Amino acid sequence: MQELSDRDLDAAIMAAHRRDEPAALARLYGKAAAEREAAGDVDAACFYYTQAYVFALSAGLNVAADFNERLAFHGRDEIQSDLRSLQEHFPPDASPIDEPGI
Amino acid sequence: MTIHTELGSVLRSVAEARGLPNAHYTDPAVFAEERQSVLFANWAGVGFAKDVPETGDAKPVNFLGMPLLLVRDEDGGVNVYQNTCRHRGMILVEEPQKIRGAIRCPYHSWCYTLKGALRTTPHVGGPGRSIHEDIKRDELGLIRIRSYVWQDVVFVNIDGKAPAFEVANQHLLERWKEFDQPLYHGGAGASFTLSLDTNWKLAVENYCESYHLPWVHPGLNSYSRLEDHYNIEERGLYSGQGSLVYRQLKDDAGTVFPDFGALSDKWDTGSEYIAVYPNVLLGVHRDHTFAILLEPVDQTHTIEHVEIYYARPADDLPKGLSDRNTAQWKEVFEEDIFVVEGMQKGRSGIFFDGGKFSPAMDGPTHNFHHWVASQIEAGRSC
Ligand code: FES
Ligand SMILES: [Fe+2]
Repeated sequence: MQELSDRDLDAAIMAAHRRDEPAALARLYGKAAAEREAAGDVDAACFYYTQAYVFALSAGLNVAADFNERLAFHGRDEIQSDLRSLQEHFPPDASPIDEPGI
Repeated sequence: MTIHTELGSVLRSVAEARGLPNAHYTDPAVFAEERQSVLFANWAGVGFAKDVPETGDAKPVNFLGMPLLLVRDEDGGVNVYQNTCRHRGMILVEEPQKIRGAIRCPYHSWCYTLKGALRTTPHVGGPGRSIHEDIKRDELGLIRIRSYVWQDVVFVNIDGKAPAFEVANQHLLERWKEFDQPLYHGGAGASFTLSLDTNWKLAVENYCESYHLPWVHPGLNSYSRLEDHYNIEERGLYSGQGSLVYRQLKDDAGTVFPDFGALSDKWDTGSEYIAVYPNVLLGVHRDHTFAILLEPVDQTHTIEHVEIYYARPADDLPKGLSDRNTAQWKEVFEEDIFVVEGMQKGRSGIFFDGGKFSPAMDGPTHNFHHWVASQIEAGRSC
């Protein structure tokens, strides 16, 4: 079951890359990161959090601050204190971000 | 190879001077010298603030081969950066776009803020590690190009060594301080470009003087006679012409454009047309201004970017009138094409000696030659 879910997530990430949807990529990588973190695999989690963080930044999403916090907590990036207000300046990406089945 | 043209004769008084030698219009080596000494060493126009109206708007500009990026930040400021990633030199932004949260390099995704700071360097210390002791972010922000917005024109000093914009242009800023007020671009219809087979300087030289009006712009001259014009020349600074008989455009009902606020009487029927050296040509009137940015493509090609501005937003202007105003100016500027292209052709004549200025009529043009020659001499002496 876990195996299948990972494959679905990978496929969804690939699809979001093909459609060039940073907001969807932020959400999907964020999900992958949280799963690896919960499983205790910090290196894999931080790889995914890094991807999630960059796409959240690109899309101007406040959730970038959450990803940045996880990375800083694990000593993988510097904390950026101004990220909470990102969406005030940048209207969120209008593209659809929901992936069926995930 | 650097060709050292002889400029002493250009630096004499208008009565005795010759114009710049042919090589300044035809030779790629001299064009390269002018790129550095004239265009990069001074405050050159590279774009318009109205092209990046909102936070996150980014517009790439290629100025004489130099990739620049215009970015509107969250405080409303216009920033100009070298459009090159600090990592391995990837071009950062290739099409005008809205940046949402970060200027992200498309290669390895180094991310910069709108103010140019390096925000993150993903996986730079290995997978999942975005920090490394040798990657010092505060030393790796985008290279900022000195810039200043005036009359909506984005001016840059690429070599970073010119006096501050307000100092370099103090005299002109003072002269036109009454026009230091909000300008509203006239919208899509108030914008056009002309592509010219000429050296950029010939467009400046023609713009400066009113001597050609009766011959090249007979229509303009029927209501704006030669004797109603005066020369504007400030040695080492700027030059142009003024008119005493500006008449406002009216629609069929007699409606005119709204005036700029609190102008002195001089502007009731006055207008001025000034070349802001090196490459920006401005015109001011009681009810509109325009800016022409000369984009030097190479020694024999120039693109003129023309933008027209009003005292009120485009939607508040009398219907159809701004289109007529655009058409009127376009006609005038198109009438100048054959002379600026013709002077370019004439400079293939190997016996042309730079020409002879009319002390009465060509002062503003000579003033520009004198300034260009001074910049080149300054460049050669350092
Ligand atoms: S060249 Fe820009 S991130 Fe590598
Ligand atoms: Fe003209």
